[in-house]
Amino acid sequence: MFNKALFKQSVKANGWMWLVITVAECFMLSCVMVISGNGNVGNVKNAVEDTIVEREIDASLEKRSLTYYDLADTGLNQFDGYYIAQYSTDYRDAATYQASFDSWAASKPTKATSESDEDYAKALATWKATMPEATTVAEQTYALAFLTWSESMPKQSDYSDAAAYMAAVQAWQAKKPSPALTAASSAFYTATLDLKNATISAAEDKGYEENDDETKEMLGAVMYALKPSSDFDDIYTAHDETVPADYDVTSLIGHIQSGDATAYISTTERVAYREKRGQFASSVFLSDNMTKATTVSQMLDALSEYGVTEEEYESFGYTYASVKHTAYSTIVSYQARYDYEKSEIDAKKAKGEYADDAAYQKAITTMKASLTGDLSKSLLASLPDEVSLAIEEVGKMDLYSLIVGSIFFKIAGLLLPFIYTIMASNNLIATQVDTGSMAYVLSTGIKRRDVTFTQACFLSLSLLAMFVCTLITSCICFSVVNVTSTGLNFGRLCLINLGAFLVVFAVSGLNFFTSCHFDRTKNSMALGGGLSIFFLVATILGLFGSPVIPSVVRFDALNNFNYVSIITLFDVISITKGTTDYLWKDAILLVIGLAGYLAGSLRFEKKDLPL
Amino acid sequence: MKTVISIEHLSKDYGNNRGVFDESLAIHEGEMMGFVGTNGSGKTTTIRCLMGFIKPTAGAVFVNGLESYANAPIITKQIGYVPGEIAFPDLATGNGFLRSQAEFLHLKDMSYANELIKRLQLDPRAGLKHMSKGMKQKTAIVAALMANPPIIILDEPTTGLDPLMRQSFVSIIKEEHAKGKTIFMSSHMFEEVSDTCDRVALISDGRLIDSVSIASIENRPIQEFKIEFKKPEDYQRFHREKYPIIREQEAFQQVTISIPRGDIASLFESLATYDVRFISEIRYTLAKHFQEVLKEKNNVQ
Repeated sequence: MFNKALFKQSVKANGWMWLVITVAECFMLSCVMVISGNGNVGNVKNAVEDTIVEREIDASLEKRSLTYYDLADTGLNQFDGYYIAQYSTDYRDAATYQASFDSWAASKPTKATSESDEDYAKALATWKATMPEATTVAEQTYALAFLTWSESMPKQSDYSDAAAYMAAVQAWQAKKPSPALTAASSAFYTATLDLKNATISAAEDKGYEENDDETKEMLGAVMYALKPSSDFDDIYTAHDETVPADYDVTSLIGHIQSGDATAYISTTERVAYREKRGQFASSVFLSDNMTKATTVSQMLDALSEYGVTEEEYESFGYTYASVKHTAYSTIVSYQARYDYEKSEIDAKKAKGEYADDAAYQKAITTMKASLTGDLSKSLLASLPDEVSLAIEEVGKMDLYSLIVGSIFFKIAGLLLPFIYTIMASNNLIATQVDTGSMAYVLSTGIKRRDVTFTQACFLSLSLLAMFVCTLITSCICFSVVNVTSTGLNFGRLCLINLGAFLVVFAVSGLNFFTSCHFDRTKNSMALGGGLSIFFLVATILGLFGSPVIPSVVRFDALNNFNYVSIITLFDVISITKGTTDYLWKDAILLVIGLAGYLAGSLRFEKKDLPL
Repeated sequence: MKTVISIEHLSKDYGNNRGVFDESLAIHEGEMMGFVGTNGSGKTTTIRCLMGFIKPTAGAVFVNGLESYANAPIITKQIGYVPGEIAFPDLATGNGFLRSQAEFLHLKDMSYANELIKRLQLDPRAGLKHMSKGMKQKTAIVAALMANPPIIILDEPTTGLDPLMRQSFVSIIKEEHAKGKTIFMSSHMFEEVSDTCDRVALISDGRLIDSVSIASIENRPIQEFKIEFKKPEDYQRFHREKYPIIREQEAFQQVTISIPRGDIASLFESLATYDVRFISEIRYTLAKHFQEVLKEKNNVQ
């Protein structure tokens, strides 16, 4: 079977090539292992992490600014509805109440000269007790306003002359509470209360308690946009922003009086007013939230785990102005998209593509939901979580194993052995047939089977020897470098070397087959070598879609290349993670290699040799 | 006499009328067989079948009674082979190559190889890549002969050799022949084979046309002479003689006659009465013989 003379000849013919390639391979390997093992890997990892953190925070901010904006815009819209619904009732109440109140007020007892002070006080008390009961908000508001007003009546003693006094009284009279004024403020109060309750119940619908951060955040987003009182000026004054004017109800009242209020709140003018207010308020609210000292310190706490220091966080540049800018521009572009999508839906509606109004509303809701995110957690709770989720992979990523295993042994380090395999396998058979030198071998009485067996032995043994050299090199390098937190150890290093050998063995089987099959070296090289290089290139492309690359920077589509390369059967991930998947994959590689050698031998035995 | 190589109805069809078709030829022990044909006529294909490198489409070649394709490893041990294309294995020097071949052949004694090297004035220390065509050819011959095989097959061995080198090569082959070895040598030159071989086979377009022994060509019972006369009267008068004229060229007053070997004496006697400018024998060569055979074949077809 085995022919010593032929083996010797093959050693002489290919030994130099083997030596050069093995030395180059081991040199490359030691460079990779030593350089990447000496610290720089950590920096790379940190840089990647920082990028991911920043990206994640940005995304989260954008998402949240839209959520806030949506809440604010919807809230203001609701408020308008509540207000116009409330105003008419309140006006009526206030008017009715005013009538009874006025008659009561007119019945205020006057102090008779004969009456003692005591009696007068009694009569006054009796009169006061008969004050019409103020049950509704409008009534109470009116009563309060009236009493306050009546108590502020100018006193004659304060004025020097009668004319001045008369003027003051006239001015005072003009301030007498009217039903309209009463209704305006009481409806505002009620509508605000309604909005608050609606927002809280919306939060409760999502499963939050009234005192939860999430509920507070939702309320904040709505209330800072509405700004019902000067209590909500704080975030604007704190950042030197112009405090928005009080929410415009005057136009609402005007339209209520002219009877087209319901139509008015859907006009573009009103919608634009609400949007503008919502945009400003929600971007200020978000950036205020984001730059609060408590938020920053909590973020830093959560991120410190991933090596993000305070300076690094500052270098990300999440200042009030930048966050506000991000939020504002996100909202503006969202609005543009929303308007466009809405106009599309409206156009469809005009064409009658929606069966009923419900379908139309549903289309709008769906479109809106696809544009904005959902508030799933409070800013403080979610941001660090989202960042940590994204960064988890990178944090867990074993960069040293990635470089040594997936990049060197699976790609870079395969190139030279592939070249050796392609050249040697062709030298061993195809070239000798092509040039005719095989005649000298076969005319000495060697069986063809012995030729293929001996050459196959040479090829596979030389590859084995090459990988024994890389194994020794990699073990020496691994003991020299000091890498913490890596899944690699000497045992796994052996398995990786074995896997790489089996890949090259499988490829050598393929090339040996083509070498035996073709009479021309160029044909053999074109098919065998071409396929081998294709596998390698596919693996390089596939790497960017493979699970060793963190999901945030992975191109999933490129993973398809892994399915067309036999190098994929070299499962570095399984080896470094300590699972046993690599076993059957290694076995397949071995079988592929053996099949190639066997098929090549059978083919060579049968074919005509042009010698 | 024992038949060493027996080609029996050998066909190897490569399509488009290329290959060899229905060849039959027997080569006896100790015989030196020439194998002539133009380029592409099928000489190399026949030899490849003989060596068992390719499988015949039909028929078979037997070497010492063994079918050559199935028993290639056995029969090739009996054969020293010099391929037509000289391409050596990827080894550094001629010495390296010869040593490697000796190892293949399990040859311990290199004395005969050294003797051949000396005879051929070969410097085997030269690198195989730097060898001239002639040196390569010599190296290949040494490799084929050094194990002293009983059968020697040479595929156009003298192509590319200068006349002097060809001479020493021919003498070595003749020596081997003298030792009683069976030799099968292909060539596209008639002179070469007719100078060295016992018997020559002609192949044309993949078909074996004829095989003839050199002795029968050289000792032909009929000889041809060309005679030129000085005077036209003599030329006319010669026509009345009894010799069969196969060609006349009146302008030159030449005749060509064909007579049995035994009649030469009487021819010269008759010619004494003529004024002859010259008389020359037209040699019957192998080339001429094959031309005639080919012409005859074509006429038959």
